Amino acid sequence: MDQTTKLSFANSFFGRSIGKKQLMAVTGLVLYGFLIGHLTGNTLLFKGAEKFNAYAEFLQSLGGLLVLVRVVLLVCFVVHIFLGIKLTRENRDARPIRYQVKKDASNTSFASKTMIYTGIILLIFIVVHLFNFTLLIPKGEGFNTFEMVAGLFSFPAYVVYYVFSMLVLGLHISHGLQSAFQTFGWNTPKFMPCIKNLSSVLGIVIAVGYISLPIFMFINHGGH
Amino acid sequence: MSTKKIDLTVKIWRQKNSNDKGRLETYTVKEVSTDSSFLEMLDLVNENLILEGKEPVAFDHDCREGICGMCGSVVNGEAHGPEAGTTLCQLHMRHFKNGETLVIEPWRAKAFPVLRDLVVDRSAFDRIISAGGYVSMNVGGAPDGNAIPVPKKTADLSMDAASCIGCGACVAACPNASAMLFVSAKVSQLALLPQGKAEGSARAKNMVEKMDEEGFGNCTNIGECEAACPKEINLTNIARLNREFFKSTLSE
Repeated sequence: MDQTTKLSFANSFFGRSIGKKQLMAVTGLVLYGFLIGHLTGNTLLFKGAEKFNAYAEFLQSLGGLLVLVRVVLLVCFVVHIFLGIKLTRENRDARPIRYQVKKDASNTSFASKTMIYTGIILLIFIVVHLFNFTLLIPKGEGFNTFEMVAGLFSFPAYVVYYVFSMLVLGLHISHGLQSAFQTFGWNTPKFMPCIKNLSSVLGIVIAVGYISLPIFMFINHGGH
Repeated sequence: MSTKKIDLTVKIWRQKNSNDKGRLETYTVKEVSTDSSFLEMLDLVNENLILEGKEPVAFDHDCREGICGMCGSVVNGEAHGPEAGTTLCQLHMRHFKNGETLVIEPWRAKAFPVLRDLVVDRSAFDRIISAGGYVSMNVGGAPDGNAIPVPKKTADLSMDAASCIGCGACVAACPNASAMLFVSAKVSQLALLPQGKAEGSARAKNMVEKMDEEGFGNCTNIGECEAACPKEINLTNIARLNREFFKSTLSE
């Protein structure tokens, strides 16, 4: 059995089912890290315009580092989304004829079976979010980021859409985190129940955290 | 415990050969003893069909003791039927109600083409085993059984993995028709033991490569396989396979 096919590392790893999944998991974890950082920073909205704008200016002042972080995030996004679609298509192809009757086992979660759908909803959200908060906004000296956020969150429909998307996010990452641990092989009988619970709890905490922002802004700074 | 008799309506997948499109056909089967097994119920269906001059339903079976891995169909959307940790042959009709309708379908996966009715071609599993599911040894005198110490816990884990009978229920139950539970059990049973470690790296790599080639889907850590497995193979085996694969692609 010492005869293994001579393929490059890229081919033998990323060309294989498990390799693709492990890449999916790595990029997912990077994005997860961003979610935590992004939320932590943006809770400064609670502290008011001055603190939040100072934070926004601090981020802008990072210059090259900010560009680097954005490039890394963009690459992770693209890879994560590309692989998600590719794996889903492969999985559909693996069962060309469906069952007439299919019953879900009780140990499986709704989140685990809807990753591609929650993923697509999040992709749309992220595009909308980037256009609204980052790309179309001319930024420069003295730009009031807090005002911009307050302005966007004064539209009830936008707040509702935001809250809905963050609920979907909670669902997506509640499976995502524990799934990544399993995919890396960090599943031991003692450790895994803890990770599963942590994954669910963090999913809820992060979703509630993000949801609190537009609701706080709408109530306190929505101009009502 | 008294023997009851129940009447059932069964909708069974009928397909002449791999080229036929196939369809569900409805039969009624009367006076099924609740002490009989699911396969004995199918035997009864077939006896009636033969008496009517019709072609009996083809289904796989061999030992009827739950250890050979030959039998298996999806009953009302569940691989091997509603009982956990039970093969179809060991499933008793007492778990069904009088007048119930059962939909019986073959394993569905691109890698498991239907040959006829409920019989599918599972030779893809054999080819995965040929790719690395073994230990190479020199012939000669058998070495002493206890020459290499193996911790009891490790031996037990290996035995748990080795209880996989290769029936294919994991593939049938998986929404992605992934064979990861099967492959992980076959990799684990050897990877855990000293005799298997020598070729561990090439094994994981080659078996995963074959698994992909055969057209099985990718695991998305849902857990349907674990729930359907008649031998209750654990998902931790898949985690072990993931580790083994990662190690092997880095080293080989």
